[in-house]
Amino acid sequence: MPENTEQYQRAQRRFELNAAVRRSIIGGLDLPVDPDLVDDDQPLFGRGLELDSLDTLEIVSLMEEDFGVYITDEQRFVFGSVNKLVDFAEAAQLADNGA
Amino acid sequence: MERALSATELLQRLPHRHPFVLLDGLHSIDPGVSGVGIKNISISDPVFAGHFPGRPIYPGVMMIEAAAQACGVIGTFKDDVDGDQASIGYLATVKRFAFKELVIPGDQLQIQCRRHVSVGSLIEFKCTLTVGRKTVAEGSLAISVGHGDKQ
Repeated sequence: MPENTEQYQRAQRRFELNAAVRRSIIGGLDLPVDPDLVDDDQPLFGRGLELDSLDTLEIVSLMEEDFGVYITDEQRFVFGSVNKLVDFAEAAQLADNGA
Repeated sequence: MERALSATELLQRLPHRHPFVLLDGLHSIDPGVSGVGIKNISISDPVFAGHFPGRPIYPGVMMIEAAAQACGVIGTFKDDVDGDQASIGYLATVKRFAFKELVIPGDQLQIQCRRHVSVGSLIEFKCTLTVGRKTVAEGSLAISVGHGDKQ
């Protein structure tokens, strides 16, 4: 895919945002895991990264501080995986930009 | 309407009893959001028998507990309290507390608590503890709102 196409640039932005969210969560929660080894569809809770309910508070805080988006109680489904968090962050940022 | 609670009114909302009721008052209450706790530091507090003999310094861990009691009342606050307390705030996490100045008998601690984030029954508050104009401690703590029967 040519690097100057809109699709390529969108894919590149998404790749970088996923990596940034992985780094934010792994670093913020001080998890002994290499962020690059976390699958974007891997469950964050239970058998996945084994996070617990207290970690959700920290993720809400990290997403707000690092990406400017706030997760409410009604949007708790986004805690499922990195991809779900990034889907949510992209949609919230688009909404904020009036797109 | 200014919502404020005296020490005796706090006893209707806190399950704690002597010697572990650490608040003397709570004012500027915005239910679930913010409030300011008052803690008067007295030389007659039993903690000074050991912390430290001849050099009384109020322990940081007690300041965290006082802040947790304030956050617990703010987080579970309802205007009407009759009979048993419907819910209790249990201390769930303590994060990045720093103690910047010594707190000694004669000081009055003002404990400013403001909700930062919340998920489900968990509420995280940012707390700033001041004596006069000086910030003596600050940090974050989370409470878990649960049900409990008042004794």
